[in-house]
Amino acid sequence: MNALTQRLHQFWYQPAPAERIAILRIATGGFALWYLLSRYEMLQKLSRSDITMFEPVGLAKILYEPIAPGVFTLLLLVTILFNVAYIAGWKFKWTGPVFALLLLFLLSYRNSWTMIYHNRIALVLHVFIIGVVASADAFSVDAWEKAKAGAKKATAHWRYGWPIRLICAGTVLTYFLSGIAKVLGELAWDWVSGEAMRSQVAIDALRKELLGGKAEPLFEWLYPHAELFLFFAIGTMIIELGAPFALAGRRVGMVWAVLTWLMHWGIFFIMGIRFRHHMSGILFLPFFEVEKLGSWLQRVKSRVSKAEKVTTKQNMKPAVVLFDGVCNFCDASVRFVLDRDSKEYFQFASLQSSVGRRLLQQYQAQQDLSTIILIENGRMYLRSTAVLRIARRLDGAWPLLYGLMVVPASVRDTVYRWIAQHRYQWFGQKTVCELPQPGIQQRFLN
Amino acid sequence: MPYLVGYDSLQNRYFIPYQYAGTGGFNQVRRQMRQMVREDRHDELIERVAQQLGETQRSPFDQLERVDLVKGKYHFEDYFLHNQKAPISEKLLSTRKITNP
Repeated sequence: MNALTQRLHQFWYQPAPAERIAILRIATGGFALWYLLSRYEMLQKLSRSDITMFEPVGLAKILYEPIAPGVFTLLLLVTILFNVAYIAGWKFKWTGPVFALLLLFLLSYRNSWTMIYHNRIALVLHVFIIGVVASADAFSVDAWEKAKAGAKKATAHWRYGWPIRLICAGTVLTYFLSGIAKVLGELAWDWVSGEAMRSQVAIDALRKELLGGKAEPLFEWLYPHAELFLFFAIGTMIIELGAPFALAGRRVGMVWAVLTWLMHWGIFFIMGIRFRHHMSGILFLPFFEVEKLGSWLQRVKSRVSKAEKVTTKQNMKPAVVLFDGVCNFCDASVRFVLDRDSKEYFQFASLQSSVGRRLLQQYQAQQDLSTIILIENGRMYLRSTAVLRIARRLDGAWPLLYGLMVVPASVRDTVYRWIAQHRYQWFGQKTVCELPQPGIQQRFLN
Repeated sequence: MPYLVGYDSLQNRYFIPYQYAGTGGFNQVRRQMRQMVREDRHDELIERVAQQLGETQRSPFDQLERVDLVKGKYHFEDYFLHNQKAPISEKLLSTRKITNP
């Protein structure tokens, strides 16, 4: 008994670095943000649909009737704001739990309209666990502020380990229950013959065709090969009923995670069903030592940059930033980049200069003073994409902003255009392009 | 399962995409349709679809003259292996003429 307790203690309270759970916070938060932004219009449309379809589930059960569309939009916007705070790890003690609750409510409400999306349940579970524990002790605004105040960097501790264990256990449990449901169902172990799976996939394909869609090409090829479904069914059962073994050790967990991830891609290719949280791999990240990925990438990056230094010392072609030379805001932005570009990766030219005009002509672009332009590796990037690609090359934590590339360009560019439209009004305008100060002149192509 | 079939002036048959029947993804709209049929709200559902089809500019749905809400039975092997796409049986639940605004 004592040995078992000790083993359980070791299992739950194994120390983990603060960076691991911080990465999980950013990844789950990033996925939730992508979901809310990409479904923004659909969610609003849903809140205005036929109220007879409203059957509240989960936390939404506190409602007697649907929320007014205006209130729903406000709730959605507040959730998005808390989502950003959750990713940034800002005032996390409050924003973490509040975002977890808001997301739980919002997705319960979304599921109250005739459909329960079980894959979103996994997302909410992960956000909930991460949101209520100390997951902002690294890679966060809170951690940055603490470091500024002289606090020591967080070291590996069980308080970062057990939430990850809990997430893994929760994930494994959902698959295990799914397997148990099959065995306890009408077909029991006959499900393994593959015939039920074949029928289920055929029903789904037929539904798609009758409702104006098309069955997946892989399904059309697979359907005549009934024997293959036997292997798929056995594989599914091994993954689902064998899920608890994923908790036995890190390597077993990683293998199980990869197999399950592949299963979801298989479902996508055969049935066209997108379990995005699963297919992206974010659901399975807790099974991996994700913090090591950063140092691995850094090693690869340093090797590449060493090689680059050797080969490009003489014929280096840095990226060129084209900006509006008479705009105070753009001028300040260029200085901002200059101060944080210790590798001197960027060169600059104003859009009004002869060099700027020549580059625009070379890339067959029109002179549009309302956008910053980045020319990098022979390609031209505009608006928010240019800004984020510039941030990627800056010193400090600024490259983290590049994660915002997951937000659809149309949404990012709307914000960019709004700022660009008001830049003269807010920050003023110059009558002429100023010459760069000595010391940084070589960075300007004008 | 209930589904929608549209007909043009030549009586060509078209399956109506789920987007014309409700809000949300494929499975969500399918469930909405099933619920409405279960609650005998056929006319309400077909009215909504006919109105949406009347406003659409998407070909070939902009050419449709009539839409039927039906329940059909299919044989998987015939449908997917022998390319026999016709239903074994089809029961008409409701029908509407499509009028362009």
